[in-house]
Formats: sequence, structure tokens, C-alpha cells
Amino acid sequence: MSESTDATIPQDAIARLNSMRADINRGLFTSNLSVNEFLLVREAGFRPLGLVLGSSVYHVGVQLRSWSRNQELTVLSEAMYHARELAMARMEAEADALGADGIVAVRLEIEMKDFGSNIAEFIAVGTAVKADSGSGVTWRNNLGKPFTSDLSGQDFWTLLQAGYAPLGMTMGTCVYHIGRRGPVRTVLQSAGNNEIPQFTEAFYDARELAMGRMQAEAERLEAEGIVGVQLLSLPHQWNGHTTEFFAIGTAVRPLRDDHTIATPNLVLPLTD
Amino acid sequence: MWCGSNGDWSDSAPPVSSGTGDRWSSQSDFRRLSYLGWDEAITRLVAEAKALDADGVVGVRLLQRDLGASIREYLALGTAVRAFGVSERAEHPFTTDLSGVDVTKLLQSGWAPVSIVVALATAIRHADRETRRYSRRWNRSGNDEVDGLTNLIAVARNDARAEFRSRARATRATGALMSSITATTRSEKCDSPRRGTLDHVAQVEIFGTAVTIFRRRAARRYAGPALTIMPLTTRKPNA
Repeated sequence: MSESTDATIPQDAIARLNSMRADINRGLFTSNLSVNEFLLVREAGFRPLGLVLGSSVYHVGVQLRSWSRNQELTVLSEAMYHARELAMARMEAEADALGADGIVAVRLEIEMKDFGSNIAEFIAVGTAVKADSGSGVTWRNNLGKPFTSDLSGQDFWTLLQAGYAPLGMTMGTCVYHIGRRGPVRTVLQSAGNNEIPQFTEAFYDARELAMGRMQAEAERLEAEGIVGVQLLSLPHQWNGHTTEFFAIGTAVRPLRDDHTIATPNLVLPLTD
Repeated sequence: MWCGSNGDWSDSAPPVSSGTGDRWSSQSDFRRLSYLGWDEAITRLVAEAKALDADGVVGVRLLQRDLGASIREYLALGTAVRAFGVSERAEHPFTTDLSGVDVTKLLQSGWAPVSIVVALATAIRHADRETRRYSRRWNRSGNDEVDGLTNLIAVARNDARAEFRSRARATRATGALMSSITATTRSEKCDSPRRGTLDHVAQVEIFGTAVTIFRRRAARRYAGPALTIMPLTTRKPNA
């Protein structure tokens, strides 16, 4: 996949970020945090600096697919990956301009736009945070970038309590075309209970590819592991035989050797 | 609406946004009118709350509805609350789109909601060769970022965020919690001397609550440290 850091931020954005810096000293922040997240992020020793956002409007190319064969649609895989990368890189560049240590509560979204067919906006939005001084920990990751995390404020707090720090969001994607079965086999398989090997194989293959790519990203960050992984199958606007398998999680590293947390209290909630 | 390219038809002409409205005022007019709707709805909500001797309004929902023929309804709906044992009432009740539970948590940690913040922005851009090509139904082009549209949406979002911040600052808050940011886009026929061409329009809306700190020192002690609990229900990540 192409390694794009072409983080073009419009001129007004740079002006806004600069005035945001001045605001931080006067103590105004903006954020996309919920109240729970906001209070817990403060409790964990971080100060929200401001809302950061990156976006890219992308035209997803067209690829011919075989009627009956399972295959990865590399053109589409690359598009889904590259566009997300562009959005993320722009968000990181904004956080960098604010002098942030990291970005929490990152949400990645895709919105189809009615500018034309196959055009979508890829958005990354999160809250840039800075650690209260005196912790003596370098929060930036081995690539010198602010850490990113798609964990909720609650998970972020728990992770820090247990002596782990987030390094960066890692993702892997694979757009897969599941071959059609042909009329004879469809009829034969329609009567009884049986597994449909072509579909099983396709799902396996695609998930493995997506997870493998996510893992490779974590290795590049020299992470100990990945937490909060979500494995999604997103049909987007394609036909029923084409699906994107998307794996996303937060790579973590240990901060210290012991990883004990206060014994949790058992709670019986009165709600369902 | 006219795209306001102002005679600059080159592909590199920047988008006109409500923030750069001096160049072409239609965009800033649009914003002014939408603000009028929201601000009026919120002012009436506050007036009702005042009539009830309330200290604040929690769980405010902001709804809008298209009634056709260029008529729009703006609706602000919330629950007025009153504090116990307060001898003096604040002149302006606070408003927030946060739930009562969230407001309590904030208050216990030394933060208070101040006011709902609505921020709007629009941007418009004349179609260029690249965006026209992608607008065609059956185009066979490969993967590519659409620079013009990316720029258009970035400008609109950026404008809205600057608005959000300056409107939050105007309430003398120390922070602002955004609850939603939505971008809607459309392409429409350009009314310019160059007929038969398209304009791309992006509209961004941000809603949130401005908050302020009122008990800097005591904050932590009052709320106590967070309690680690292990819920017996299953919870989806990021839920």
C-alpha cells in the first residue's frame, strides 16, 4: 500500500490551529468526548487540547470481477485503505500542530456522497490530548507521531491504570468478491442442510488477509499487542457478493512491569 | 444560489465559504438565516424556563423539519430543572443537550454546563474538470482522491469548527463538548453566466455544550477517585 503522508491542511485550518494554541493557554478546549470520557481522560492525567479532524473525498475505482471465482478486489482494498490513511494522516498533522501527545476517542467514518457514483468521504475525528507535566513518560510512538486510540474513554483509563499505553490505531482491510455458484449447484445445495464451502472459504480468506495486515501495522509500531479489535464486514453500496472485511484495533505497549489493577467491585446493575 | 466564483472559473479557484462571505455574501446570508432559526428556538426555550424559575434546562433536543416551500421548523425541547437550597437564582438558566445523568457527573467533578452551542457553515465550489468527470454515472477511472471536493468539505468543516469555538468562547466557557458533527453535500445547477455547469455545495452543522470549571481545587476530592467496577452485562466496544 502506498505510504502517503501528503497531509494537506487548508490555509484557514492552519490559522485556526494557531489561534487554538493561543486559546489553550487561556483554557478553552473543544472535544468530541462524552461526559464519561471527558472526566475519565482528565482523571487519567490528560488535558484535552482540541477537536482534530481529517477528511478525504475519494473516488473508488472500478474493477472487473470474475463471475464464479473467489478473489480479493485489490483495487477496492487499496482505495479503502489509502483513503482512510489520508484522513488519519491529516488528523495526526492537526494534532501535531497543537503539540499533542496523543489523540483519543478516534472515530473513523465513511459517508457516501451524492457528488457522483463511487465517491465517498472518509473522516477521522478525535480529541487531541496532552499529558499533565511531571509524568516523565514519552507518549509519542516510535515513529515520532502522537499516539492514536479508538478506545472509549473508559477503556483508555483502564488501560493506563493497568500500566499500558496506546501506541497507535492499526487497521487492515480486504475487499473480497465471493464467486457465484452456478445454477446446478445452487439447486442441489438448496434442499438440505449443508455447508457452502465457497462462502466459508471466502470469509476465512478475507478475514485472514485483513487481520494479517492489521498485525503487520502493529509490528511496525513495535507493539506488544492489539486491544479492542473490531472485525467488521461492511457491505457499503456494492452488490451482495462484494464485502469489505475491516479489522481495526489499538496497538499497546507496556509502561511498567507489573500490570495489576485495583480489585474490581462486582456490581449488579438494576437496568437490563 | 450562485457559486460566487466571481469571474474566476479556473479549476484552482478556492471554495467560497460562509467564513469568507465578504467575497460573495449568499453563503453568509444562508448561515445568518439558519442561526436565526436556532437562536430564536433556544431563546424561547430559555424564556419558558425562566418563567418556571428554573436554574437550567437539561436533555435539550434540537430538531429541524422541512415544511416545504422554503419553510423550516426549528424546535428546541428540554426539561427545566431547579436546584434545591439555592437562595439566589442565576440570571440566565443554563442549557445543555447532555442528559441529567451526565450533568450530575459534571457538577460532582466541579464542572458546570453553560449553554448549548450551535455552529453552522456552508461552502460552495464550481465544478472543475476532475469533479465533472467523477460525477458522470459510468466513469471508468481508477482510485483517486478528488482534490476539489476534499478541499470543499475541509473548508466547510473547518469553518464550522472555528465557529463552534468562537461561539463557545462567547459564553465564557472553559471547554466545549461536541455531541455531533454532520456534513451534507449536494450538487446543483450553477446559475452563472456559464450555463449548464454544476456547483458543489457542502453544509456542516455542529451541536454541543459549552462547559466551565467552577471548583478547580475541590473537584477531585469531591467526586472521589473513579471506582473500578466490572459490569455483569456484556458491552460492545465503543458503545
